[in-house]
Amino acid sequence: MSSEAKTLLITGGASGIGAETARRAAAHGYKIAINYRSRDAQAKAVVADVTAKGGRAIALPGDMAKEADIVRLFEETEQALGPITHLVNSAGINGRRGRVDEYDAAILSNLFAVNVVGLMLSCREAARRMSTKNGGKGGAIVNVSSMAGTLGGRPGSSAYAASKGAVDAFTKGFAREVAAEGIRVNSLRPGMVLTEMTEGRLNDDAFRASIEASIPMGRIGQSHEMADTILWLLSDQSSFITGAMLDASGGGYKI
Amino acid sequence: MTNTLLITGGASGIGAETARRAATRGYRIAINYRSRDAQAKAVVADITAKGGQAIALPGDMGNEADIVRLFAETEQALGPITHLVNSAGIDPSRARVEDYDADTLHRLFAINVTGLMLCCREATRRMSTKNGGKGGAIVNVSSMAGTLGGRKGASAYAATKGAVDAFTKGFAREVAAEGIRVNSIRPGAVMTEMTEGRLNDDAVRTAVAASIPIQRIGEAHEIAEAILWLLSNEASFITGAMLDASGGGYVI
Repeated sequence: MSSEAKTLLITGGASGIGAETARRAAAHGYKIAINYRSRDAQAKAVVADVTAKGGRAIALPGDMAKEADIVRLFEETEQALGPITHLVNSAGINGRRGRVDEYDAAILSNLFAVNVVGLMLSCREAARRMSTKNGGKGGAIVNVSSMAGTLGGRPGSSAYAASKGAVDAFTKGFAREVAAEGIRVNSLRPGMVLTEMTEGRLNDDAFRASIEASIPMGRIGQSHEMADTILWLLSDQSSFITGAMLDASGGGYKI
Repeated sequence: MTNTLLITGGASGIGAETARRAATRGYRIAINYRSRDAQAKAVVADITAKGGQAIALPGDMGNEADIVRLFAETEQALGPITHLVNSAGIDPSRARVEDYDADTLHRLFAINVTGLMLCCREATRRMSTKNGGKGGAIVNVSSMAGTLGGRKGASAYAATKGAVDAFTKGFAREVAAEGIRVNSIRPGAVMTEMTEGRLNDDAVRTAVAASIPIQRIGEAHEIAEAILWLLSNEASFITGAMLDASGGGYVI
């Protein structure tokens, strides 16, 4: 992939790992589309940060649980920034944490609609545009999974873990499917990272101490550490890496 | 800070390419080799011609005394070792299990597994903050064979790499709070001196390429870039990970 005209779409780009990826991507020469669902002011603040440094970015609303929103997101990105060459599927929700005997069907459905089906449809839209089989010029995709997908989640997170296990399995098959069509696809499995999704729990000192004690490295990860990893997986430096799951977890965790 | 990188098996293939590229990123480099004396010195010459600092050190990874000496000599020449790439490895002639030779198996495990573990021992004694060190980063060169099982006749080689991965996970947890990150990279089929004997056969190369989703064999520099990234501070929260660099795995 040549360095000119790289366009990166980030779902869930208004906060956390997605927002940090957007900020750092701008310095790597990407034009950036930041998708968000509800964080309108935050998405625009990320755009302002990027443009203040001479980069180009736009913010586009869209709910990853809605197919029409996803289709529109890709169209609007292309209209504004040109062909999409890179995609980071960062949008994701925790769902309500709880024991299995307390599950609510509607919450489970929405969890999988956003974290799994939405991500798969986002990959569909990307493949339709990027695949050399479809007249595209190839590209690279990173799906933000979780260590929960391979270790199972912490107590109360089995449903979230299941959604990330689904992301990993999909990533492996999808990567093989499009490997000869110029598209690399990998998933990143963050361990515990301080983001808006996790800060509600991590701001509890006792909880945070117990989490840190469970991580071999003895600390919680930072969003920028995930963003650097995502950007490396998107780059040409990882040209033979596809279908890989990269653990960024400080060594996993004891549950 | 001054980074000193020791690469076992650094005279050819992935190790040599890692050495060449590391030199441009400010590492001082010790290149270990067993038999490829002229090649190791050629890599050193490449690096010094570009203004880098490198030395070549002989040593058999199947021999504990050689390993201990290698670390001591590296430190004497280049200062504290901050980074280690365990790239030395052998892939003996392919064989079905019913044809195994015990001495060949022992030698295979001595180099690919025990030697690598002893290198990690020597590194920990120096890098661990518990031992007065300043931390560091280690990459063990494993193989996709370690997770998928090897291609036909490569089950013993695959077993050594499975051992490397399991060791890497436990070792990484053990030293994670002592400033040392440890990861393994799992290359798929890559053109190196270890593989070129087979891959230079057009029919074999075509069959291997066809079995890889990305439809081609990897290049040593693609693996070197991944190793250098894992060694870098950009990978600061990554330890105990196995990174597949395989073009999508392979169908056997």
